[in-house]
Amino acid sequence: MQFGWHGISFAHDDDFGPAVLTGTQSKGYVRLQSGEGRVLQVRWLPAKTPPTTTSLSDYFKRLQRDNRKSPSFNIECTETESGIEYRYSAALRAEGLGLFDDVTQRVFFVEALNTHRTGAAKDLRRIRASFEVSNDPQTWAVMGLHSRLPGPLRVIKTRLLSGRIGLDLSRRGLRITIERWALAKQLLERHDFGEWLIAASKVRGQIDEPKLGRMRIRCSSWSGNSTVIAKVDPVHNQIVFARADYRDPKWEPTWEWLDDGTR
Amino acid sequence: MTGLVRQLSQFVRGPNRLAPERYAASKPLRNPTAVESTDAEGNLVLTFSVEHDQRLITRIFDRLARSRETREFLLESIGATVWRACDGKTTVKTIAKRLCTEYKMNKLEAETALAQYLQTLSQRGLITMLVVGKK
Repeated sequence: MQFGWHGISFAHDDDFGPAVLTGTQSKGYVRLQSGEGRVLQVRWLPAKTPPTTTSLSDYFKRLQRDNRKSPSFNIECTETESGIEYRYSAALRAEGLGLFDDVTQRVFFVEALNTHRTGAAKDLRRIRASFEVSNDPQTWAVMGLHSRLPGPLRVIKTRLLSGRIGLDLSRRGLRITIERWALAKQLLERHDFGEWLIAASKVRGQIDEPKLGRMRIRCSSWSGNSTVIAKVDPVHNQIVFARADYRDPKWEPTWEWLDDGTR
Repeated sequence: MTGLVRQLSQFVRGPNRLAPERYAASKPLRNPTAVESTDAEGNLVLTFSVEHDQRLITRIFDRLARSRETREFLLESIGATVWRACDGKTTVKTIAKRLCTEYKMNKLEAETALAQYLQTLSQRGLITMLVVGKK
């Protein structure tokens, strides 16, 4: 499954679910957790230069402070071509990676925590292989919801419900709502796709069905334009839709927004 | 009064929480008195008789409230799949896996939705959970 938040994206096992999703484009923290105590976490901070072992001392001090209750805390750190690799052991074993992205001028601390060192290393390898940073378009992906939107965006609200995942995002002149509804087949057996989409997206307007399993509804008023595009994904038995409220026509949603890539 | 004492003792001791592993290994079992039938739309309908408390005060309240002797529950297709899997042999983990394969749900999503649904069925007296293993 793919995870995407504020321009970062990576693949992870289906066991992981979001536990903490905070921050802005420049600074933030996300934590994904599995039932068996495995953790994946990414912190990002603004930075002008790539991290070095000396420049990271503040971060490591903070790690030490956070783990002060742990009986034995030790940290090892090595500089590599791609960034900095570090490992520490506290209550859990952690494998970490410090990366720098010069386009967005951010430094990322990607960490995998596990009860075993090998488990953490395996999880980190998987993230490392798929870790990407992109400013525009940005991937927003949580628990099956996948969207590529024009960035940067600000998160207004997250809805993480069983069977329904939603994000409200905004930037100047644009407000976007993306939602993923599970059990699409069972839903469409009971409801008409168009009627359901009007009810779910709250956009009443002209329905356009360019292709089977896709739908677009446009609505214009004195206050601005609203467009919703929706796609039925039979492979994952889900419906994904993106609603945009905008004035400038350049923000009209395109089908690339709902391109799920590899997921 | 006994209910109040039970609630008070639970408040003092704290709620009985089951470890996630034990919950996943527990086996839900259907109420054998529930009678299955289908409605016009093909949905599963469960009918079962309600056991009333025999104490005088409850009998008076039941009569005043005209409480029914039987109750009916309508289960849609996914609910019916879960209900049929509650045979006392299949574990919660296996049912969640079945939901993932049959309905292509996310693992976490299936587990959460199933836990909520089983709790609802349990509260309505339609199933009981057979918990195995050490405390």
